[in-house]
Amino acid sequence: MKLAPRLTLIFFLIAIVPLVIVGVATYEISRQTLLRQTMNHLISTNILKEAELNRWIEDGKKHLERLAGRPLLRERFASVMQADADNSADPAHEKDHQQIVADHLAPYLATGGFLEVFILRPGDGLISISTDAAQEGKYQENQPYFVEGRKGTYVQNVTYSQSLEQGVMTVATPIRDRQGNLIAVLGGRFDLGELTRIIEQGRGLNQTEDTYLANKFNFFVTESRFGKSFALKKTVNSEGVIAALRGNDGIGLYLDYRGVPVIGAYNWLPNRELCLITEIEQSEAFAPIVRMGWVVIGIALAIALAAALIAFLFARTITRPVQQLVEGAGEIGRGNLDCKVSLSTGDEIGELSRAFDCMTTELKTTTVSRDELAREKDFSDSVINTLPGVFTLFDEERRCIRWNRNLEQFTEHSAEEMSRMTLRDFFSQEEQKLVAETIEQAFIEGEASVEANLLTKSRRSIPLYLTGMRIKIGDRNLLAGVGMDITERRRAEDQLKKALVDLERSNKELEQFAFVASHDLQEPLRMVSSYTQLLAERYEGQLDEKAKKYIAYAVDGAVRMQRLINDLLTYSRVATRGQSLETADSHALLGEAIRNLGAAIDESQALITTDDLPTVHVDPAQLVLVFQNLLSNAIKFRGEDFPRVHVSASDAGREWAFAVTDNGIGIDPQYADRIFVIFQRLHTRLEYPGTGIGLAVCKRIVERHGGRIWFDSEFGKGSSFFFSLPK
Amino acid sequence: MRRIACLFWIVALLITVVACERQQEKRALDEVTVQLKWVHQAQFAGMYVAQEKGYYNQEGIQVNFLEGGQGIDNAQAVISGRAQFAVTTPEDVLISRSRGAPLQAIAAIYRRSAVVFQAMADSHITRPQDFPGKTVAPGGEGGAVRDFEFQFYALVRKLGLDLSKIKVVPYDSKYTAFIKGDVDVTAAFSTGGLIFLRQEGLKLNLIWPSDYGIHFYSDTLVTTDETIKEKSGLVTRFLRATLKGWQDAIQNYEEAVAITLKYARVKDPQFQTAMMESLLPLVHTGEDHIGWMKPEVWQGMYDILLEEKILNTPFEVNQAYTMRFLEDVYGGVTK
Repeated sequence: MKLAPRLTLIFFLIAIVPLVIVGVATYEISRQTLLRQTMNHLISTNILKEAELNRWIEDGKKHLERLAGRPLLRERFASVMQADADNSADPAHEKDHQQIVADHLAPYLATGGFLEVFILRPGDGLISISTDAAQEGKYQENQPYFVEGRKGTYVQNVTYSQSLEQGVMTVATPIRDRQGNLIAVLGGRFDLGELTRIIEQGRGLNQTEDTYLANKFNFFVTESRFGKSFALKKTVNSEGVIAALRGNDGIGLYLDYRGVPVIGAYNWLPNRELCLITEIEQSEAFAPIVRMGWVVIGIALAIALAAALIAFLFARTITRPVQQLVEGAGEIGRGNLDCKVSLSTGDEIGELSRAFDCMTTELKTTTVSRDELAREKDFSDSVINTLPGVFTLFDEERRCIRWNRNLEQFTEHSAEEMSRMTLRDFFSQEEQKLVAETIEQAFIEGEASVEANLLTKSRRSIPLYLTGMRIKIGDRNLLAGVGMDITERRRAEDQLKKALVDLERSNKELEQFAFVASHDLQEPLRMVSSYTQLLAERYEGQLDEKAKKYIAYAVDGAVRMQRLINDLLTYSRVATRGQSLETADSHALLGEAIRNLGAAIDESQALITTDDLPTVHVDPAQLVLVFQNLLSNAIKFRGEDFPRVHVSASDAGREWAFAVTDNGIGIDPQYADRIFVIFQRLHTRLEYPGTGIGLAVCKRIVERHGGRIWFDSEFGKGSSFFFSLPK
Repeated sequence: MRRIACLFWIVALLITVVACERQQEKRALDEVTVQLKWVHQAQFAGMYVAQEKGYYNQEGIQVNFLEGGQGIDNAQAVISGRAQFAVTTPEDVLISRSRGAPLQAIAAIYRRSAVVFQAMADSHITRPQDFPGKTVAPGGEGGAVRDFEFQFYALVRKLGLDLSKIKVVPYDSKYTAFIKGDVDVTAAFSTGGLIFLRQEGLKLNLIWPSDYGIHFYSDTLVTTDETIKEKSGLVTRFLRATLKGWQDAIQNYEEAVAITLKYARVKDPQFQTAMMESLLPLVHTGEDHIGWMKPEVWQGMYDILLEEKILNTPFEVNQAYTMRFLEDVYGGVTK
């Protein structure tokens, strides 16, 4: 509910609740007062009516007694009685009857309130004379008023007369002569209509006030205000009558004979055996209070509405600035940070609006940096996602807090699943320990890496090279992990390893073969050579020149063969008989090579110079052989001049580069490929002797040491042979 | 402890209540058959009220009503034992008694006779003394309408009228001749014929025998000497319930009419209401308790019937009724 209607409602309630309470209390008190007043009125009415009723009856009695006591009546009646006894049909007798009625009885009808005054014969209750001629001749001998009336004045309460078809109430008194003898009974039938009038009297003051009598059989005795001919014809069973019939006097609120709510006072009149009821409709009795009730309600509503209106106006003064604030907030919410509320009021709402504007300004600044941050995040997200491998950032509890798309693709886990996983969940049980240790190490040392297999959701495993790097963001230690898929590399490595093994095996077999072959070839060759030479010595002189020549060819062939085999052995021994590497002074080894070549150097008068040579890690005998072969070649393939050879070495970073430079015939670069192949010769045996093994051996030795061998030459202008040795 | 004691008392009380109820349930209702004087109508309203409001059941009685009608001898029904109680005329009781039948009245429901003689309002016939020279229809042969004859002849005798001057013709329940004017005076019941004739719109002079010293009860409740002797408790209970029903019927006769309509042959509320209204003053006369009887009235009825030679054998009139049960029922109640 909005503020304005709420305030209005609250004020309305605040106004109306006490008003209602006061109103109800006032109403109730007034009602009680009014009820008491009404009750008092009804009770006093009943007291009055009872008194009137008694007075009326007493009056009737007195009148009748006075009449009975009149001597004239007694005398006249006595003569009439006599005439009756004579059964006279004399018209004078009839006239006497009428005279008595006219002179004595009739005047009492009005004064005594009687309908009928009559004289009964004392013996049998015959109505001798009556103001109502129709009644004359009837017998009342069993009527209590006759039986009792012979003894003294007696009032018979209301009964229903069959012959009159109405209720009657009769008073009787004896007529006595001077001696006191009973000569007749004087009866007077009360006019119950008069009774009704007496009871009705005073009703006029109120619209619905109703007083009536009811007998012990619940019958109306007098007419009620709202009924016609109810007397002794209709019954009334209201609470009031029932209570009165139990002998109670009282007053109460109940439904009357019509079923209308009334306030009723009821009295039981024991000597009359009647209920006296006075009732007034509650609606009339309470009419003033109902009017007052409406007035109170009207006033209450008017005050409450006025309060509500004031509250509404007051609420408006509060809610309008609040509304402006709300609109301003809405505007800002839509992104318009330039919006200003700036209310001029000096109250709390004004302060609020100013604080609000301050906040907006602040927000604007914050929003700018927030945008930058967002851009930065977009950038880092892009970077992370474009990383070739997987990326994940996890905290000290090893929970993944950020990762790139590759990781999701690799692991086939959704982002939602990822957020619930720790790093351990990505590795098999066997590798978890290793990974955990690496992570531990990375957290401690700042960096660590490991190769491990990443388990996917479908339980495939992908080999990764994982690198973890500790980073600090805010005060949190996080670990940025990058994993590269090394499936391809692994495969290549495996292939390479296999190829190497194959190669090694075939090399070994080849070397074995070469060694065995060359070694075993020596034996028959030696037999060919020695027996040919033996043949030449034994048959010296017996042989002609041609035979000698042939033997010389055979020996030469065998010797050459021997040399070839030896060379082959040498070549194969580079690998098979190689000594372990040791540190050696290359200069000294060069010296040994020069000494080995002493004869050839002397013969050719070659000049060999050298720079400072480094200490190297080599198989000394083999390096000697390399120098020896290169120097030997330089001398062998000399040009016109005396051979000059220079040996030098330079530092080429990770290795030493040795150079052997000569001034020989040089090499046509087109043979660069062939020159290091075994038994390859560029010249005939006649031009330059040799088997063509030297450079092949050099190459093999250098390569065994992990170095390379190459040459640089210009045909006819000398050549330089280089080889490198790792430091 | 107190709670246990409390619980004990509650249980004890419950057992008592249940036991009492069961005892009550076990007590079989005494079946009682009542021979009504005529067909079902408002005439017997008090008994219907007692039945419908359960007053009979409360007294441990199950009541069955037997309708009366032309040719049904109500007294005989009780004497023969077909019914335990009957609603019938006091004349019936007296006549039966004089013949030696063991019948006794226990209450007079209608304490005034409903018998009335009626003449047209313009006929100037206002008293029995006017009957000589006129045609009177006081009754016929047997049945309930014998009341008319008894009272007619009693009037004649009481007032010393010259019967030879009165033309007596049979009673016609349709009143055809009376309406036509051929009959000057006809007897009728104020609870029946009178209502009918007034509904026809006739203005009538009513001549009540009771105004001339002829005091007859009308509907009385009767039973046998044997029942009174053997089952006096049942008689008291039956009477108490019946009178209570009548008390209610009078105090709220509109309700009584509504109840009557469940039984009545003529389901005409207007008719039954009129009957009810006309019988009310006969039942509650304004004197004494409902059902109360007076020895002088019995004596008067006896004297009249004896004089008329209806009763062949004289007997002590107090054998024909008993006040015992009325006294039992009303005890010290003074209303």
